[in-house]
Amino acid sequence: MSRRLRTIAYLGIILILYLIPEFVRSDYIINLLVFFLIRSLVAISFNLLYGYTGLLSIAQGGFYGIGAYGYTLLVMNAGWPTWPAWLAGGLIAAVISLPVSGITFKLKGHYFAICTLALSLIITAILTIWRGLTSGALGIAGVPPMGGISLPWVGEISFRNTFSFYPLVLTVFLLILLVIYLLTNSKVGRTFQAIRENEELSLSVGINPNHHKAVCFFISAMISGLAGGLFASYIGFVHPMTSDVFIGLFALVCTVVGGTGTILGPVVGMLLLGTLPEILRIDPMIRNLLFGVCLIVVVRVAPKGIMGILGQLRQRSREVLR
Amino acid sequence: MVLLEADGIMKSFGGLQALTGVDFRIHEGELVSIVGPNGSGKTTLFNVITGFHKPTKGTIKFRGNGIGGLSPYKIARAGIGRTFQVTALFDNLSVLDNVIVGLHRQTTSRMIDALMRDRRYRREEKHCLEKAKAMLHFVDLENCEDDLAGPLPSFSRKRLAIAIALVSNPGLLLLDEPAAGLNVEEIDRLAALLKSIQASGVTLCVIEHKMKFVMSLSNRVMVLNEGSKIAEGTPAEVSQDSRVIAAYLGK
Repeated sequence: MSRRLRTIAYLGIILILYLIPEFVRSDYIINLLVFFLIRSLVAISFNLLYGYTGLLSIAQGGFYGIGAYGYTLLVMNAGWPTWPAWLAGGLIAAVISLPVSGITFKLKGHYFAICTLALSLIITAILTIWRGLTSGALGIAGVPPMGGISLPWVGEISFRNTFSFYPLVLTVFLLILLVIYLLTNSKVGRTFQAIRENEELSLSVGINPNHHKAVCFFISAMISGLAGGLFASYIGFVHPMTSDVFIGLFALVCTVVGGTGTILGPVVGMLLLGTLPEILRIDPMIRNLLFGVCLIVVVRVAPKGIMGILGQLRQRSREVLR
Repeated sequence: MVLLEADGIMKSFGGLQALTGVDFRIHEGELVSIVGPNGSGKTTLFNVITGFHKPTKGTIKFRGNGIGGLSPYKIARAGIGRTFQVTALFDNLSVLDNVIVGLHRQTTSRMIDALMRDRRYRREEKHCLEKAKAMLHFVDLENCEDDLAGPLPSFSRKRLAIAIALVSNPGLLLLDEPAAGLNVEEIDRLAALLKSIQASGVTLCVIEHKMKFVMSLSNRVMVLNEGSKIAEGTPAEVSQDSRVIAAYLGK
């Protein structure tokens, strides 16, 4: 019965999320939500790596940029249709993760984090320097939006403005969240966590950690890349700073504050640190200061983040009720 | 029947000779103990057999197939389970999940099956759950299957580590100092557990310092000193051996 109630509650929440534009007629708020969902995907991809497999990646911003540029260049230079270009952008980001996996997983220690930091900086540098392809620091303007689709009953939908784009990004977000949920609550997630907990013991029960790490990194890079493609198609402009290393670092902060290794932790963190300061119009300089303070406080006081605190409260209330 | 045969195992770390040509056999169904002073190469030998160290020289065969120098996960899949000297668990997973992870080498469902939650995946998960619960019952940990593994008391940790290694029915189980840090009563319970593991058809090889434990339990004892085998035989034979006495007590 409680499971049924929970399913109804989830469906209700999803319905409300889809109906928000009907009630909130503000372009500004919906725009914020679109950015929130896109950047949440980056945090989710970071969390899959760090929270489950224990790999600290700083390259998620780089993959985001690759996805954005992949979409832009495939559509504008190669003349691809928008949807395949979007998927291909994510796939290119994922393929770029493979050599990093090949190089770093043979080494022990912090080499993975260092390598991903280097990768993120290299991606930004290449996007800046390779003027022939990317028009360098000028960026590329006039990126076409996602092509419209026609659905039965609903008819033709285009994604040209904020209000029509919101359901698209929400659908992608929910689908990816579902995939992450199914993966992490299965044998795959269990294996990832085993590697995070103890790599030697994992080896001794027949797990090939390097294979699973590479798979996890591949999926994670793809999610960031897909988020970047959504961003480019929405904003219509890409710039080397679209791949800024800070995007990945911000995903890290949001994930840790929200709760690593939980499904909704990165989303909650992004809402609190990404969207709330925007609504409250906090000065960007002060924002960075707040992020730092939040990170330190959470690591010191509640290492499992906000989701961890909520879990504890729920357990305590259950005990009291009993 | 010979289960594991190791010939001329040498292992050096830089200039240090940890193992200097060890030959030994493990036969199906027996319980072999490896004893020796600290630094005599016992754990190194385990690590070489299970692939965590590559042998500098020598061959290792398990059920007739060469396994020397293979990756640890491949050796595990061939059917050699092990525990570690410092008890290793997946600390932030539940006790039950720890044991289910131990079944990894027997699972065949792929990522796509897990995503689709198809029949093959669900059947396999159900099978794993039943097997893991039965194993927890066997090591007497069924009352704490939902607890996190990390905070368990030390004897429970030891038994859980054995359960993780044993649940996938390995042909050979290597235990690195299972009795270290246990009190007298716990050692007796551990001895009973090892006997019932042996009775269930699993071949055991145990590194241990507690001599009474070793002598009462083992079918055969091998003594290592400074990286080479100095004696081998039944517990009674070995304890009479002059070189063993010299190695342990000094001349």
